[in-house]
Amino acid sequence: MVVYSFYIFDRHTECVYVKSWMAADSPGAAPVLSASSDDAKLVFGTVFSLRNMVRKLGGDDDAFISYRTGQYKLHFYETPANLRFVMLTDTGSASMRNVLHQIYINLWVEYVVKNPLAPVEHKGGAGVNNELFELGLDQFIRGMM
Amino acid sequence: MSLSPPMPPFNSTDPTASFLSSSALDFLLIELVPLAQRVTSQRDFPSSSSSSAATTQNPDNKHDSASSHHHRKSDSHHPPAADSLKKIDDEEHLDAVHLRLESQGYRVGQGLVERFSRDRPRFNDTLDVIKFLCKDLWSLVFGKNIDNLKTNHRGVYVLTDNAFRPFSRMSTETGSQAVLRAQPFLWFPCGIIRGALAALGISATVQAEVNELPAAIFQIKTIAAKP
Repeated sequence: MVVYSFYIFDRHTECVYVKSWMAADSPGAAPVLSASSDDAKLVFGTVFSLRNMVRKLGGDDDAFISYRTGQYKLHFYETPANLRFVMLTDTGSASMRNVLHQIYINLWVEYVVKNPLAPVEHKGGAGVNNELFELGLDQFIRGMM
Repeated sequence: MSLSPPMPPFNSTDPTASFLSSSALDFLLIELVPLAQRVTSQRDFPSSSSSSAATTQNPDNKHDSASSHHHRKSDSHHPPAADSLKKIDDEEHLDAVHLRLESQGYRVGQGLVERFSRDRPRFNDTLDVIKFLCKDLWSLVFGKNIDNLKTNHRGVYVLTDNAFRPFSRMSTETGSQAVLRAQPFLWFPCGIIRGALAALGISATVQAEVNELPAAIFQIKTIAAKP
């Protein structure tokens, strides 16, 4: 299983965190997402529209969990507090909903929400990219790969 | 009341004990510092921004009447002067925040000791009190014991906590001054220590420092031993 990239969007729909694991050893088949900030906006637009469409078609209880293309699989997890976690993996990986939930409760809540030095609102990603969160996330993802 | 998960025979030794989520304490301790900073800047330094604007305006007007040449010159001199003024203000402000947090902690420490030393015999000497502080009080407030206690037997005690609870999740991006920004979070605990000691009859000064997160070092200097 390969994790390509990971996004967090806050309740103001702003992208507060991006991380990419597409290192030099990544296969040529990896989806090309450059580091430009437009990617995050496109990803958010996609999951926002898909979530709304899913709810319209399937009712309010229906959840958008993931979609898959020929190149990658996108996993989506939305918290009760309106935070949105998005992860791009290879097409063969199982559901990452649990993983995203774990990242939320074990890393986001612990190292961002309960971090005395992180602001309450993460404008421009302030406070999210702290050392403990980065380290924990990297270890967690590499442990799965 | 404890930070550890309650064990099955609830409240067997302490019938009035109740349990509270430790997250509530965490968030309260986190918010305490910015709250003290806000209260201090609003109460003790009222309208500092508007007053600084006024001070930069007034000399300009005086210079205006004196000479236009001087006015232009004073313009270039203003920023450093205002800067140094602001620096003094910042230091004063920080001291005021320190005082506010410390005295809040002092009250909390006094209350805590009254509540949690009530079933104990009287303490024999200062070291007994310090040990009570390191074990009982510390685990009540911070969920663990002090890791190291040193004393010179002449009234100075150095308490080291290698994983100070308020610092356990404290982190910033690489290269920013986390240690400097962590300092204000030590002032309330300092007050707790001083208040606890005062309630047990020991007046002392408490200083704390942080060299590397998440460790914290508290230095207690007793002023006069109990007669």
